[in-house]
Amino acid sequence: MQGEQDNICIELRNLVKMFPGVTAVNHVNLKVKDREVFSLLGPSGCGKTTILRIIAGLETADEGEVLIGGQVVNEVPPYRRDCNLVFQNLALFPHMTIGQNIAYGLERKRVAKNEIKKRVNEMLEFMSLEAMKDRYPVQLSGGQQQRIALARSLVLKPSCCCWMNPWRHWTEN
Amino acid sequence: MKILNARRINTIVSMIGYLFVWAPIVVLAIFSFNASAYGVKWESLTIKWYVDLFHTPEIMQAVLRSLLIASITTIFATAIGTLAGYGLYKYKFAGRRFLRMSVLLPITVPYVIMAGALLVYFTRIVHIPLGYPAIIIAHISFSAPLAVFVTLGRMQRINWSLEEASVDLGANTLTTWRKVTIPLLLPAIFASAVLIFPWSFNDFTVTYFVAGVGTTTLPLYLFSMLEYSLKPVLINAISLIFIIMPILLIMLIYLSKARTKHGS
Ligand SMILES: Nc1ncnc2c1ncn2[C@@H]1O[C@H](COP(=O)(O)OP(=O)(O)OP(=O)(O)O)[C@@H](O)[C@H]1O
Ligand SMILES: [Mg+2]
Repeated sequence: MQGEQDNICIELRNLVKMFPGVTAVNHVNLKVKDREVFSLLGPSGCGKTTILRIIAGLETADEGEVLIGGQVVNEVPPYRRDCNLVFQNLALFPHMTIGQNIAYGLERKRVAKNEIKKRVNEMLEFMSLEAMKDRYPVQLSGGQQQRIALARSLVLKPSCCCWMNPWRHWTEN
Repeated sequence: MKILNARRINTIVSMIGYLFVWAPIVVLAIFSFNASAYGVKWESLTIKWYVDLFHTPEIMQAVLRSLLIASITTIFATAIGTLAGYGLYKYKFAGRRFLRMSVLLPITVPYVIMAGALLVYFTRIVHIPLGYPAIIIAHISFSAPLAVFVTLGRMQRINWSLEEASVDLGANTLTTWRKVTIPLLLPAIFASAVLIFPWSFNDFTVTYFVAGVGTTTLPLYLFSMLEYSLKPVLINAISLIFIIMPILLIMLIYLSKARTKHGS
């Protein structure tokens, strides 16, 4: 239906992942377009998390290819992939403030200091969590922590952002 | 009533515990001011042992040597032990379980046996000269397991998604270590160093075997003083100094912590 110029953001071709005793991912094919919101649904243990971890590069695929922005990234290490995860347990760095957590990825990309400051503040404003900048993750509620985890990924403007179990903290309020 | 009794018993038991810890130190403190050189019978109050102490260059040299050895040992043993603990926890390989269990072997083996084994090893097998190199290597080998042990305990309580999150956000392995892993392990690193330093500083047995000429550490010096010198009570004075220094240090750390907590 869409025209040719619609870019494919993520593509999986015949993806297979086996753990001892189980085939977690069995020949999965999918295409996600730019700006598309794509959800993986399924019963517990069917391999959703595993697929996301393979896309991010935290697990290696046994068979098949992962393409991000049209490039095969099977051999690209996770820290060079243009794709960020929001972890199931959020994984906010407990020894850093909220501001430092959000700035972490930008610092790794060697973005200029004042640019980092600007983008972190924009992001905090967007999430309406400006007041939390100098707090530590333990001092935030579950829902606030989740917004920070999302902000930490989105601030990098990745071409794709994979969010595990997005409704986990949502149900609380 | 029952609860009250239980509480009273608790108090008494812990008092007895403290008595065992503190009584020898108090006795030591009092007798370091005793004028009698043999220290068993009280004569009169004096500070001459403390004056003597600072006028005996051999003691000062022994103290410096011990501090040097303990510092080097602490740095290397903590670094090696922490890395080993990390590897033993994170990476799966054949023999991992055996290695993990055998980590405490150097601590459980009687010291004299360990010392003898090290002596044979240094002189017959690897030919490391006795003296500083042998002492330091020996100290590292018996204290690194402590750091491994402490690190393994800490590793179990760390959320390892944090390392993955760091890598996902664009940090390579080295940066992840520097920015995430080491800060998370810091309590273990600190605890290891605090255990290893006095462990090395106090060691007598192993050092006695592998020390050479001119590398008499403080424990060795004190021992020889007990054997040959005419004023064993000098030991009380030096012991007291080395009991008071760590207590002061601990109090200082405690106070500074209390203040930062109060401030924020
Ligand atoms: N590291 C691992 N080692 C061995 N088996 C694993 C590992 N990770 C996942 N599995 C197995 O792979 C399968 C898929 O797991 P996955 O975590 O992807 O499920 P999921 O769809 O995300 O489930 P949930 O909705 O409960 O989060 C499960 O059967 C799980 O037991
Ligand atoms: Mg899952």
